[in-house]
Amino acid sequence: MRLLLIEDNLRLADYLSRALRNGGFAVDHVSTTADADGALATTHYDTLLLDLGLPDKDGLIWLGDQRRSQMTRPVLVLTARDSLEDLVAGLNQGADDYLRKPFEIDELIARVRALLRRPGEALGVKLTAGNMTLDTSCRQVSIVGVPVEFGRREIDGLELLMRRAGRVVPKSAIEDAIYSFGEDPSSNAIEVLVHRIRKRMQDAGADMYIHTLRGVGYVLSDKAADE
Amino acid sequence: MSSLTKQQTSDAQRPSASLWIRLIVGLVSVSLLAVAAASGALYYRFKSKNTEFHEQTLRNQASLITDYLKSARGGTIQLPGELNERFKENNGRYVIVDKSGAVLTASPGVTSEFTAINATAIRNFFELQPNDDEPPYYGLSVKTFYEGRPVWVQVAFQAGDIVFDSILEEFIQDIAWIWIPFVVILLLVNLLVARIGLKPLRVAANQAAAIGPGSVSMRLSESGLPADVHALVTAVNHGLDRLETAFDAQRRFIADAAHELRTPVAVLKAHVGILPEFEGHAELVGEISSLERLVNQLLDVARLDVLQLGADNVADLTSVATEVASHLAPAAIDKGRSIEVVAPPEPVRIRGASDYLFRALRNIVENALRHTPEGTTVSIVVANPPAISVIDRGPGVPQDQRHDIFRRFWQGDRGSSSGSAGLGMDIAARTVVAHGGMMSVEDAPNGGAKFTMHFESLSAS
Repeated sequence: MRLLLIEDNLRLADYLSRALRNGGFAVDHVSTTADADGALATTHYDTLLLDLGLPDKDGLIWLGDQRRSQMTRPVLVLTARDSLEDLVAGLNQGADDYLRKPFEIDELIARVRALLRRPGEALGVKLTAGNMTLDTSCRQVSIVGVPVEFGRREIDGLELLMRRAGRVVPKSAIEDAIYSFGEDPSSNAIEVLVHRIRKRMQDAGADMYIHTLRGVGYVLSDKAADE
Repeated sequence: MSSLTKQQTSDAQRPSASLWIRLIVGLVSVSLLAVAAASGALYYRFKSKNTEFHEQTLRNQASLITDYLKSARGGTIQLPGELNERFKENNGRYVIVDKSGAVLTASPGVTSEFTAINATAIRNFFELQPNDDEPPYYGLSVKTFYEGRPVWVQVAFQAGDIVFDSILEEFIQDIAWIWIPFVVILLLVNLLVARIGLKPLRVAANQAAAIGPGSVSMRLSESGLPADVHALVTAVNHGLDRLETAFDAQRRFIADAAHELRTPVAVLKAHVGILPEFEGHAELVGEISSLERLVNQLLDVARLDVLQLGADNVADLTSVATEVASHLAPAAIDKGRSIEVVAPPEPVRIRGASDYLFRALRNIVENALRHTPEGTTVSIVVANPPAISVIDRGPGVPQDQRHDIFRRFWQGDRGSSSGSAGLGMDIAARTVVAHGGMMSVEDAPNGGAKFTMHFESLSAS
């Protein structure tokens, strides 16, 4: 899988390229939007990593132009800016995700993988978290390589958690994903569902755990939960 | 419960009486002064005319007697009846005395000279007060000769009986009826004119009152103002221009500083991230995190100075609480802690800036996560009337440290060896104060510390 890193800080670009290569990606690095135009014209990239403060053009303006000319690759924005307006503007201009500098290398790789696992993207079919695998096309969960039986809604819920492993999935997001419009889940339907997923994972010896954050949502983490 | 409250400022300097009040006082004083001065001048003028008239009358009456004496002959003086009649009609009196003061003749009831005769003066005026009940007499003493001997003719009339006094009285009364309403109407018209003249100032003042940190780009309207008020308004607007420029410069500086400070930390972090495991790797990562946190907090402190709260800035405390919880939960879970949010079903809206409230709450929750023991949960409780409490299960804040904890760079026992710069609580407290609220710290019911940000209700603010 080939990534295009558009970043004008050469040292940062060097470290990030090395880290991403260690993570199994092929990385091309350019420092300006002009060079990025050239690279995009000749090579197919699976994902773009875009710094905003570029010397020749503002990264967001460049991204807006690219989106208008039908560039559909996922874009992860890396920014040292932090105002809410900038982030909202970034998402409006067609960024798929953003990471605020400084960030953890592991987080960067996880976000890139999450983008590539989106439907239609390079890593589309298989989600992995710890010793769990979810094949999103045939809806099959395997734990330590052994297929485990999950209900349809349980797999939908687990997919959401695995796509955002290590990050909070709001309870409302699971509700929206599992129940169609007009369907009114009982007040504790999600709790019951998560409880069942958790039990199946536990029974099959998964090394990932679902943490409940009351009033917030759920997190799939490799840290054991008390519950 | 110790608290940090909004400081009461500007109460000490109340403005002195308004321009309007000053104008009222000034105009009323000027009118009263004008009335007094005009009345005084008129009175003085009439008084002197009156005196002149008195004197003329007295001289005429006296000359009637002296003319008669010049033509009269005989031992004793007997004034003709018509003359006597005339004095009687006018309520006047006369007496004629010789140089020894002996009465030669007099009107009925007069037995002595009215005033001591003056041997040298040809004539002198005098005033008599026979008793307190009667008005005074004005009199004239004239020296003349009768058959070669010097005699003195003294005539006197009672004040008020002279026609002129009553004319004066009438005149003043007539004038007063015109004069007083005239002055009152003039005063009212003046006040009205002043009120209309001051209107642009009032309008400008109302506009200026609406300008706050949330609307530094607002300007006072300059159209249709009189030249002098226009000068003031233009000067204020120029002041606001400079203020806005400084505000924007500060904001740009913070944005640049954020970028410039974070980039090297990002480089450092990325570099350490790709190095193979080595001794002290974990400590180095921890130190970089502390540095990152310090940079973020310094930027937070700087941003508080340019906080702009517009009327349309509405924040939902429940969303802020869940965002902070979502942001901090992954790191908290890694360290064996958890976070929960307890909120009423309805949104709790306040006038506020969500991103500032987010950073304030993040600092409090980070503080709580450092002090809550492993395996416990930090609770974020949203309440209405608007408030957010953060409850940890740690040792709590000792009574004597509850005020210091909001001080910048204060670490206390709680902060030691935690990699904290002591800015977090200061940021939180100042953010709350900038939102017109207050911050408190107390013991949680089950032990631990409970920090609460109290806000004004949306309707009240």
